[in-house]
Amino acid sequence: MSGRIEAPEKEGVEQFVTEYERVKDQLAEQSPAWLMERRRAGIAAFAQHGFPTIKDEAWRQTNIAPIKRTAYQMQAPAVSDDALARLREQLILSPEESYRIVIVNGAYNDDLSNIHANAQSDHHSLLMTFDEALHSDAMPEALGSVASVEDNAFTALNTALFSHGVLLRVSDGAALDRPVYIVYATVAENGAAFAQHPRTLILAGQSSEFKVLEHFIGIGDGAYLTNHVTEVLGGENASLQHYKLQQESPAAFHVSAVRLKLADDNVTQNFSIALGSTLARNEIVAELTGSGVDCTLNGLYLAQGTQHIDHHTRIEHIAPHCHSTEVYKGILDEQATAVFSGLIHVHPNAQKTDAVQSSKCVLLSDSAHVDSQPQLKIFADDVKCTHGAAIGQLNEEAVFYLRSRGISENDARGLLTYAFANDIVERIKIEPLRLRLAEIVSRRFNATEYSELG
Amino acid sequence: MALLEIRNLQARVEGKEILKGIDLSINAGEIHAIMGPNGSGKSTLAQVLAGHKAYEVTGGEILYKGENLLEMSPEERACAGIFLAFQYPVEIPGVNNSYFLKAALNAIRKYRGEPELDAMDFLKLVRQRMKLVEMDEGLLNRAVNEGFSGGEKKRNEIFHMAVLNPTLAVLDETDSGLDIDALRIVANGVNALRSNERAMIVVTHYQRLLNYIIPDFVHVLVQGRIVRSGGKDLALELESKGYSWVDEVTGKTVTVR
Repeated sequence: MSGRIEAPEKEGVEQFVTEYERVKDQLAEQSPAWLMERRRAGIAAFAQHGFPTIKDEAWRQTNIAPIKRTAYQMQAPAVSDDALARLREQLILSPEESYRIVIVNGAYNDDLSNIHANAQSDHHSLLMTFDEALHSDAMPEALGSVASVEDNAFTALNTALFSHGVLLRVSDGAALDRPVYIVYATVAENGAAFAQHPRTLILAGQSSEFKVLEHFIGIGDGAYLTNHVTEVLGGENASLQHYKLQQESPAAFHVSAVRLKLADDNVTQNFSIALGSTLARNEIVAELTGSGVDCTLNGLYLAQGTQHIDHHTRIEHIAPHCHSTEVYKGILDEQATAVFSGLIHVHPNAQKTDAVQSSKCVLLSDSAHVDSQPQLKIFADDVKCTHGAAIGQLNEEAVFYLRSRGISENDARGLLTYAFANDIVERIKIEPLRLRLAEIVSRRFNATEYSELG
Repeated sequence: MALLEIRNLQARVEGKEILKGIDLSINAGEIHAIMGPNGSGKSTLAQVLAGHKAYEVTGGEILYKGENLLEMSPEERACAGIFLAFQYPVEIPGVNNSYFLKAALNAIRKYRGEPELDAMDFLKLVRQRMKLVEMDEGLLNRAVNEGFSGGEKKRNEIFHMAVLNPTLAVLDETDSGLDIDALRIVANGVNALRSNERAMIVVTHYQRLLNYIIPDFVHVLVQGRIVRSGGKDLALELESKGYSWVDEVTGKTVTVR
């Protein structure tokens, strides 16, 4: 294997390094010294390692060549009023039932947001855009402490270049009276592809309680890259739910890292719902650093056409007496492909770990394909870990049972597919989100009449 | 014209010949019990009537209301008034019992050109029918059969039957695995649904059920053939003499018809 001329990992790198050089002075003006240091480390790590290739174990089943081969504009295009109107229809939580912050093509949209209009009951908690946080010196140094630039090229790149994002800090003991709704919307109607690097930082104070929904919405058929990073620092005894709903445009690339670091007795539920984009890669990593943590990772992905959706999850059981539950479900149709890789890593100190993992995928066509890799690495001796994976078709006995009661074969299959997905949908505790998803899923599988099932 | 006319029915499962020529004629208003030892083909007959594709019909014919039943899909049969109470009702996680039943009922009503029932009318009907099988309303809002006890599953089948109001009901070993109280409740439900317009085929291994559901006719199925047919007393005779007695009789090729 001699004679290699170009290094594949360097492909697509230069345009981002050039962009960094172009904007670094501007970034330095806006970023405190510690952040600028992290940005420099980010671009250095990215320039050095380049993008992952399918030779990297963690990227073996997801070929990101299409992402690397695209030339990106570094500025998102302007947004038309018509696109904003379409976006408005996609929003799930109203300003009355949420603290809403809407960012469209990298710019904060005041009309669609309501973070200032509603005085929060707890004045110490903060919800603001990074623009504002940086200007008010409120940017916590926690940014970049959970998601390291050494994690992977995309996180490094996001750290170097992110220009927009959201800071949510919920103070000790505070219970937010409604969910925080963060919308990263992208309007790509036509024209050149562009890249964006949204970033979210969530700090859950001790014994705080809240729910967050991060909603990625794509409007239009144009190509773009969303390279997203969310860091969650879950304080002691805090109870939080983090939902991510990905509805990017059909031509979009979506790369996302969600990193959770959970302290003693923290109870966190994380949901990854992936519906959109042509190529999606999600990494969800939970570090259970405190004892008594209860961490739940749930996921649902629906793919059709030539969509590819990859979930890589990792739960690091570092401290003893922690409980983790993971349930992922996928439904693939046509030529869609998916990857689920779930690692439960029990460190030597993590005695009395109780970890349950389940991954199931239904293939509705012969051409659909899923790679499912549950993995346990256990270095403690007093633990309970179980995992299971199932891939297959619908239960034919159930299909016959429904038909024998008068329901058509088509409806029976739709209903059973809906029910399979609904198992995850039902676990969602933000009511309007749950209803919207039930509607989306039932419509997708022609089970519209049964959408009231849940 | 009989409601159901089975002529020389032959069927196999996974290449194995199970039914070897069944003849049976059933009129509206009649209850027929089909008894027989394990492996005689009782459940195969029930599944063939409902249209399960794993049961391949290799010969003979079935006429239902004068039409060729074997050409109809399972859902068409259901819409035409055939109901199978499963020996092993299927658990369906994620599908709510009540909405499933409403979907089924409305599919059947639509097929018959009747208006669909709205939520209020449906609930009224369901509440009334639940009383027939003394079913707990809680089971209505759970996933179909999921986590139900054996008795609850069988009761749920009869409850479905009560709501869907079939013309021909096939009860496949509805008594198996039931304690005496559950058996009585299920039988009472079935008896309440007896009518001059409805026929029932009660498939059972044991005579006991027939103490509660009194059949008009009893047929004994052995090795894929009906070897004896008679009135309700035949069941008692079977109970006292056992299936081995029938086997002996078979050897002498006794057919009562």
